[in-house]
Amino acid sequence: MATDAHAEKNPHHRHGPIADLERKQLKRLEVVSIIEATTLVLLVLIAAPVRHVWGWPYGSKLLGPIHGIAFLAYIWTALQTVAGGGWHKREVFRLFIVAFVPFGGYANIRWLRERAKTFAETEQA
Amino acid sequence: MMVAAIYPYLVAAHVTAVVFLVGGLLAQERIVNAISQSPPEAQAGVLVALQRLERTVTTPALLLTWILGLSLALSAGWLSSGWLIVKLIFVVALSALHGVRSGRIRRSLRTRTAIEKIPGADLGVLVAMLVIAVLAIVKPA
Repeated sequence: MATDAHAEKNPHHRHGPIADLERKQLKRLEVVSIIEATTLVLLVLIAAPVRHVWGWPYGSKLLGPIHGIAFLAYIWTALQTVAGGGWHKREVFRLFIVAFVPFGGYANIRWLRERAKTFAETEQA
Repeated sequence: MMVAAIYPYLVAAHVTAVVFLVGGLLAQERIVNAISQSPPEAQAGVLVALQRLERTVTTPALLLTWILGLSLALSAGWLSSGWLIVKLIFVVALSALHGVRSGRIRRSLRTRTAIEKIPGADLGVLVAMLVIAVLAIVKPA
């Protein structure tokens, strides 16, 4: 309770909202990354074969735009994350190129979790 | 028939989302310009408020703007129209500005450094909105 009150008065307090900003941002990027990769898996492995083999186009008609929005959301969240600073050029390149690699979003999960862990340890130090 | 029935409501929802997005973006830029010369410790409270505005208003408005806008473009078959492609360039620029601005607010809060102005960003938001409004309403060939 005392910690919360202190955090409210001083947004930079170690246990206040600021300490959590980067961790939450990385979590958001991870979630969007999973959604982007999963909608592509569903589109390519289920909706497209169903369309071509059984002539049922509604799956891809529905999933196409959903994946499009998920792709844009990933690119935007990656930009927002990188604009927060602390990223090397190679990491930025990796973050954006993943969006163009099929199922690449899944490769982000472990990497982003490790980064969040490293960040938390740095903050604690 | 179905799309035609909901079309005006989609437009109304899209315009509402755009109003919240552009209003929020303009407010963010003007407020950042106003406080950018203050010391970092004096900026913290305002930056926290701007960060909450971003999280609760402008980012949801951005998402809705894109979802509703692309739904309208798909339903009306405008995706290959020249005016829409030009409009999308300005929409992407505004979206990118929002991403960069919200990232920089987070960085300033985390590193306890003063927020930096993006020169011409507030004027850019106004010009982009004007161009977007003209293209959306006139729809030149």
